[in-house]
Amino acid sequence: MNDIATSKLAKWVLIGIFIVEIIFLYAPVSLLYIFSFNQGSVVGFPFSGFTLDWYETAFTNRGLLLSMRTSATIALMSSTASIVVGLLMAIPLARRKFKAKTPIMALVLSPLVVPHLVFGVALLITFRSVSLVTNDAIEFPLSLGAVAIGHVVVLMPLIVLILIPRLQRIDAHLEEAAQDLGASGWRTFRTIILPLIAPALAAAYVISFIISFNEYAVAVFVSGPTTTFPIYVLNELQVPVRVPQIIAISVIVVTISLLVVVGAELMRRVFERRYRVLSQTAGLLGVADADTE
Amino acid sequence: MTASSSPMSEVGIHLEGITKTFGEVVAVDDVDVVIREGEFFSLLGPSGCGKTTSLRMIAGFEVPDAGRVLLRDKDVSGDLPSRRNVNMVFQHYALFPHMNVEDNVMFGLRVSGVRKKERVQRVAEILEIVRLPGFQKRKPFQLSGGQQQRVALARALVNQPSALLLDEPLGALDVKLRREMQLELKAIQHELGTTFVYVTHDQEEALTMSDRIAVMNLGRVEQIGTPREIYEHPHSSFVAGFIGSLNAMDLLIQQRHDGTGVMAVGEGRVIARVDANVTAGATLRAAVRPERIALGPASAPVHPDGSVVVGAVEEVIYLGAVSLFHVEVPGLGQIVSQRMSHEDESAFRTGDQVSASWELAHTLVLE
Repeated sequence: MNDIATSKLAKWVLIGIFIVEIIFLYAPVSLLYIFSFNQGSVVGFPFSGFTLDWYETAFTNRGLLLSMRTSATIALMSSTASIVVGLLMAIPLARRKFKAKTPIMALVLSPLVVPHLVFGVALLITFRSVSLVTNDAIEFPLSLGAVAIGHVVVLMPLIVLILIPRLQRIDAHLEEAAQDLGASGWRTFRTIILPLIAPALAAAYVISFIISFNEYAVAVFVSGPTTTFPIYVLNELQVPVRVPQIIAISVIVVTISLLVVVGAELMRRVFERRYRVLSQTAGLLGVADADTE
Repeated sequence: MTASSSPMSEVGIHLEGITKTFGEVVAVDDVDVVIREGEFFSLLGPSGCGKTTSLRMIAGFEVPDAGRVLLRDKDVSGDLPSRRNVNMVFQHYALFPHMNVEDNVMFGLRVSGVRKKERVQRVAEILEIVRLPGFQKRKPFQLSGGQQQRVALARALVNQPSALLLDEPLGALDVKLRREMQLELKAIQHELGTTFVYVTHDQEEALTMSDRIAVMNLGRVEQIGTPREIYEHPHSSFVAGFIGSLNAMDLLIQQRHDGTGVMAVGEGRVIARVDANVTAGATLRAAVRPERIALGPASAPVHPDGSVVVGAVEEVIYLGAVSLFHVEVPGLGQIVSQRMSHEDESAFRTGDQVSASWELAHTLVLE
């Protein structure tokens, strides 16, 4: 009997699946790149000549540029807020032992499984209800700020998920060593923990920035008169003549996103390999473990 | 333990009836230890005996449920680790991976606000002492295990702590390096005169380095004494068994004679010093160290006035400098004698009838 993992057939099937997957993932994106240079205003083959006009049109489209600025502002606000809150949540979840850990973890991560659309509606209803119940004393105008609040909820579980494994890999004895040498809790955090998780923080920040920038479902409900980039793109796609310039700008956004995410991940790996931060004693949180090594 | 009256016996650390439980587990159970200023003191015991927890209570990482921790007569039981003038060397060094050697070592000095010029100078001095001169700019991952160990030592010692706490610091090193570091640690301790509290499960390590040893088991201190006292006069079967190897035996005292109890074994006998209240018919737990048992021809025992038993050599195990002889003694069981391989007695072969004998003082009566 042939072991399934080593059989030739299994190997070729796996390679086939991989190739199909890659094609489905990257062929549509590659088409975007191709059509962004197509002279004709109808998107499709045959290719009617090379042009950079669509890029020029895109960059002179005020509405498009404004929507991008709006999305960038929202992304800046929401990623900054969620990285701070996410870090504050990840530290105790990763490095302390307490009874309510599992339920709290579930609560923190639950936004991951709630559809953004549903959450967007819920957020809209909440903002409206608060205004109604308090007779407009407390008001949440549908705006840029409202979208940012919604995005914090969406981003936080992701940030917590990125930071927890990193924090868990820091040897608990490092904190003890710092305290033993006289450092306060804050000083220990600032001089030991923060530098060691800086690459993970940067990666988490970049990823959440990009997610927020491209998020549509929550934004569309609570943005009110504000037009974010994805909302603008979706509106414009309904006007056929504007499609080519939208493709051009999409190509730029996709390219930047990929470069930034890959770059951040590479940076993080280089750092961690360089300093051998991966510790063999990571996870030793309590003394009970320490004494029964 | 009674405190010695020599001038060196100033109290450095006093663990006063400390107890610590984790959930259901009593990790440390009413431990009372006085560690003298400037001595090399070891907490020795198997995994889970409470030695590390005791050390962590001195450092302040654990707070005792009962009892007090006194550093130079000052109660520090409730103080944070950062407020105690003791420093710790961790098992896996716990060097800060993103800092170079100099920044690691000067971490404590920086926290306590020592000026830069003095910091740099003190780091250089301490690196000299731990024999890593010129290593300031290296990163921890560029150093070998032994070098990392020295940096950890320097990082703690540079603060001139009133006591240095070491948690199995040599555990991760290979045997040869371990031996070297043992002697070096002892030399550094001697040079600086700092109180060292050393946690280990390795009895040889404790014997090599310590001025005094506390042997711990199941959260309690079994015995405190110098290495010689612990080895030659163990108070309990646990201590006797944990330090060195031994031949344990149950002695049924058949008759008393001049402060000794005698049990006949075949043609021979085992004798032991016993208390006055031990009468004939009592059973005692006793032990003999293998190296104390001399082998001779069956008719001519080496120690005719001590304990003498006769049996057949079952097995000879050659270990280089020494050899072990397993001798089956009818009525007593198997006993092991350890002899120097170059001695004449080592001529005995498997199957030979031999006498195994030892002096009266070497029958250890255990509590």
